[in-house]
Amino acid sequence: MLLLITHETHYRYQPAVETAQHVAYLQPRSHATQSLLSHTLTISPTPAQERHVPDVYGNARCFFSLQAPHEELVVVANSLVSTRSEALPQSTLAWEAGRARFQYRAGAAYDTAAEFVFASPFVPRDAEFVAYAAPSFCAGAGLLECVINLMQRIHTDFTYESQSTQINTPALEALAQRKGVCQDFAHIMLACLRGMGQAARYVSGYLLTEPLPGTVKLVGSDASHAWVSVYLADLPEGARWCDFDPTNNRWGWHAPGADYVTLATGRDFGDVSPLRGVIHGGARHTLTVGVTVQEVHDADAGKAAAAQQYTAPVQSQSQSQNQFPGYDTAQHQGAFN
Amino acid sequence: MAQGPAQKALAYSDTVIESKETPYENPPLASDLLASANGCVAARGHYDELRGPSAAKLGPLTPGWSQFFDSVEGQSSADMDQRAKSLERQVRDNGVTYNVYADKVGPQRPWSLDLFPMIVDANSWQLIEAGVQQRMRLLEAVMADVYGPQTFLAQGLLPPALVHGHPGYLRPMHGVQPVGGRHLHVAAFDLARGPDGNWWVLGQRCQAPSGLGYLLENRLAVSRQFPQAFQTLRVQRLAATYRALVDSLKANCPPAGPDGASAHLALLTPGPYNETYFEHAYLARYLGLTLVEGSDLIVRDERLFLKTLRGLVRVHGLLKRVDDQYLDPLELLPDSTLGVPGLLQAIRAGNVLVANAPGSALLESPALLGFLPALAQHVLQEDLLLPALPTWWCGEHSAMQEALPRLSERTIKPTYPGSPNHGTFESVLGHTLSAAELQSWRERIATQSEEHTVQDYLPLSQIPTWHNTAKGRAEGRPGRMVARSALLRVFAVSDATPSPTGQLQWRVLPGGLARVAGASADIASMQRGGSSADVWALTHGNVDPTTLLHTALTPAALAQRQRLVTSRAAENLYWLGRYTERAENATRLATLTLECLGGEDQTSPSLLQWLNKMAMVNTLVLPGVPPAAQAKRVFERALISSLGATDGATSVGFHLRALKMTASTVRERLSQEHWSVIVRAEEDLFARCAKHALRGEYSPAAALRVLKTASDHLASITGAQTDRMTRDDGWRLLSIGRHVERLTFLASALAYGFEAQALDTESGFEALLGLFDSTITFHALYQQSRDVAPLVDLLVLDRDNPRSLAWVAHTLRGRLAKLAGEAPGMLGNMSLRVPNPAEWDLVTLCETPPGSTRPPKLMALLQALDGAAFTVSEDISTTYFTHSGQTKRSVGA
Repeated sequence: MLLLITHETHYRYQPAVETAQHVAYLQPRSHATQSLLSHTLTISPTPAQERHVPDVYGNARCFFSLQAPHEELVVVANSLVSTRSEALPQSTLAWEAGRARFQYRAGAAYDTAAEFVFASPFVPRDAEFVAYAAPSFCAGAGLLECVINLMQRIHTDFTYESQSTQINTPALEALAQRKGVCQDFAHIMLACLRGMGQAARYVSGYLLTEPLPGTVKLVGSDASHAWVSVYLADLPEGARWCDFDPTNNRWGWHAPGADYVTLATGRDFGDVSPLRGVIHGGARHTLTVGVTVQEVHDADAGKAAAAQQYTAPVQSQSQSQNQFPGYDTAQHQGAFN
Repeated sequence: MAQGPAQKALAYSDTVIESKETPYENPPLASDLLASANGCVAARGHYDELRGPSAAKLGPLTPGWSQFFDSVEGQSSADMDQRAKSLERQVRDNGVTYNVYADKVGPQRPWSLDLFPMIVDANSWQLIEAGVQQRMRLLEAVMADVYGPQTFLAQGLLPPALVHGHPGYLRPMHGVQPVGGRHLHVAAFDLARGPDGNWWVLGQRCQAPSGLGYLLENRLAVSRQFPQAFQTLRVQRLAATYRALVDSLKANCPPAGPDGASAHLALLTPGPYNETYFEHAYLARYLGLTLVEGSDLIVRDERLFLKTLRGLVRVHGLLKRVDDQYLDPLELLPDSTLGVPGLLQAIRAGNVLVANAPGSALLESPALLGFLPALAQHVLQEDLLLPALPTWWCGEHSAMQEALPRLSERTIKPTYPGSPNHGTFESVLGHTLSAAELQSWRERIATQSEEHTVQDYLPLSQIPTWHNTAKGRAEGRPGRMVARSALLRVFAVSDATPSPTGQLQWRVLPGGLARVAGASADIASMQRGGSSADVWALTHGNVDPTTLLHTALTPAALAQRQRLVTSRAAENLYWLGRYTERAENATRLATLTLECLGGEDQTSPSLLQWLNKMAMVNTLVLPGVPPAAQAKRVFERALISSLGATDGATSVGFHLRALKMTASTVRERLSQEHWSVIVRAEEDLFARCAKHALRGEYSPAAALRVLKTASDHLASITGAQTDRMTRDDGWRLLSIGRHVERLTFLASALAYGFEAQALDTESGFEALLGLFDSTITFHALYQQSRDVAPLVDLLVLDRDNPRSLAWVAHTLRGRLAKLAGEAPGMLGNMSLRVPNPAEWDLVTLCETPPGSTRPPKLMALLQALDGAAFTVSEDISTTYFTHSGQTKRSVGA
């Protein structure tokens, strides 16, 4: 599929912000089933400094700073990617064997995926997660089937409720409430998997949504999405990560499907939040985020669209949607603890 | 006043040690120090530092201690008590403090220091020095590897749980080669001596170790008590090592400029509410570094700058005392107000040296100790010279199996101390646990094995300490010597000179900080009421004669430092000036009021009304107190009880405390004497007021004595401010603060005096002169005149009287112009806001319409002066302090 994504973030500050420093994770990755064909990032006002430096996980990362007073900040990312789906491969790895791989013994071989076995700021270690995960991990069962079972249980047990959690809702709280948004489900699933000794990482990205029958798709009506990637050690080297989306009960090799776009991967949301920053001044601010994912059929036309420079905020039709429904800006402050 | 950010406590130590009270006590022979030493025996199972390995009760003292006692002049217990008292006084006078609870209201506790040093013999020291240097080479190699190729992980020499699983592993630092080529510039090692006399490593601090400032202060204080012994014992000096650290930091900084300019180094502190802030300020002064907080700094174009009164000044190197996670809210903890957004980018770009390189917290895990012997073999092909206590990280199954059976004889420590997300807990001693507790720990360890580390338990060696009345000895009884368990913290600092083979080198500071356990305390941590002792490292070789005091500072370095006034320091200095003046004004007004109320003459109603008004507008008494004219004694009592109050009333005590608080934020800019007298003024007033309040005594005579002392202290403070401070922009702001305050106080005092018609009586006339501190001058000039004209001449127009409004206005105009950088003789906008004394004229000002007692022109001038004080203060804030006041916040989408 050819997917064209427009991701627009719009801050309005009162009073003006004097200086600001930001970091953006808005450029989609390329991987086995996804190629980035074109990408533009437009920032207004023009930053005093802009630097593109990949992070430790190979995600594209853009630092930019603004040194003059400004009352608005608009960041627009236009990307064109081609995707394809690949069904899950055969894996016979027992989950206990997957776990044993990451248990340290002096002098034993080291797997770099071990990095994703540990607790991280949004994914704490807690017996509650292990207790929830345990029924999916029967003795001797294959890791793949355990993960699918876990994902389906989360999909069934949890209610998607856009206003139910804040961005800094601890995963533990969302687990107790049995409700949340995609990001909470991803964090819960990660905590369960890591609690069972498996390597699992957070994927930030997009999902193409279809308008309701008989309606026209609105610009900005989509949202950022998040799901989980799990390491299956018996797959061919370099192709061991399989993706699982507990929100939509979808899974696949490298990505849950061709309608998914991978933006960045990390330990949890905190590693790859699409846009964060530190501002001086601007005591009050409002944030609107609009995401549009659409399928295009002509690569050249898509490229031209993606390369289109930002002109004016897509105001009128925008659904004024926050990146993660229910997360307003005040709640974003001091997000990571 | 600038508000410091909320602070996070920096854990000083979680090392568990145990102490047992000496089992029996020999009655000391009052006159004989050696007899007292004979009665001081280490508890069973502990190495006796006084006697050495023989461990024989009442055995001979070690040569070091023998020599020490022989060289002490004055051998009686009373002499020792005298020394202990003098030591205590010195610590207090120097203002050595340790904030017990790191928050705004927590008490500052005087640093606790024992009279006797811990003596480390030359052979021991040689081993410690070599062992610590070797460990530094190894730890540096670990840093270079885990932030680089990660071969130690690949070869199974280090478990990923202690690297990627450690919350202190900073991913933004991966692949970064720190400028200067090394990660570690300062590290501390906690050492203990076992019952057999061998030294062991218990742990290490590599992020921002505490102690380098306190130990200097300890050295100065203790060596002064035993000058003879200090010489005789050939104690190694410390200064050369501190100098080596500064030289090394400078040598490793990014190039300062083409003209060979010296690199600008700063010490980054979390601020005055941090528990070890005293030593941040002390070290900054001693090493000649600019003391900065995160909000003083800004990153532009991947370079680090200091915000000063004169604009941005580049910083090339930071010695940090802020924990890693707080360094950069953009990439690390977003709600940190202690760091600098963009700092990690500047580090990655190689544009600033940060010592230590962020990311070293993982070296502090006790679990790492168990992996170092194999790493030493792998990296250095050497055995570790200084072994660590046997340590088992339970995340490795075989290690857990070894550690669990004898848990009751060991210590359980958190693998990730201080990290709530990683199951942190307080270390526990196995032998203090019941069988049931042990079992529950075993289960806990088995399920959360990675989070637990088990270490052998070691009874610590015991050093002699002197216990006098201050340490719980009954009043009147002479002090005695008591053995106490001690931990030795030693420090390694980077050395820019490469070894003959071209390797990085570190120097070990020949001395250290001994942390001494209390009688009942299990844990030698400064937060838990332990004490400290100086450490005398002896040598077979020559003693380096480099002296401690400021020889390390070149005139150029001094000049550079004095020019830099951070915006935050500027604001605090301005308020230091204002509070000093307010404290003086309140003291003078309270004194005057009490004298008038208690005077033999019937106080005139107009004078009472004036004093009442002044006391009310300056909140020397709380609103609601009946007027003095109605209830003289009630008013008097209210005035006295408010002197030492800090809740509502803003009398002398309130201002002295505010003065001290403000001074503490610019501590590094004040001379020792200046700071001491500020501390003494505050402590004295509060102590005496509390004593009087306790007895229910509110006698004006006693209150006047308190005020007299406060007034003397304030005179010393003023002296220090005018005579002992470099007249840079910082001082100028302090002076402006004083004059702004004086202008508003005197102008309003005079206006209220006319309003209350206080000048109509002799006592009122005299009182006003008194408040302007101009009584003597007036009578010398005008004898017994009580006319308004001479009064106005002296208090308003006289340009030679530092208390006259003309003098204050004139000085203020000049200082403001100089601060703004105007050419000599030129006045800028801010200066012109202050009425020009040259335009004032005695005749016009004194014109009074018939039947009125208020000269209208004078009243208008007084109002204009009061208004000018306010406007100038606002202008100064917006012009000079704005960047210090801005709040940073994190946003995310």
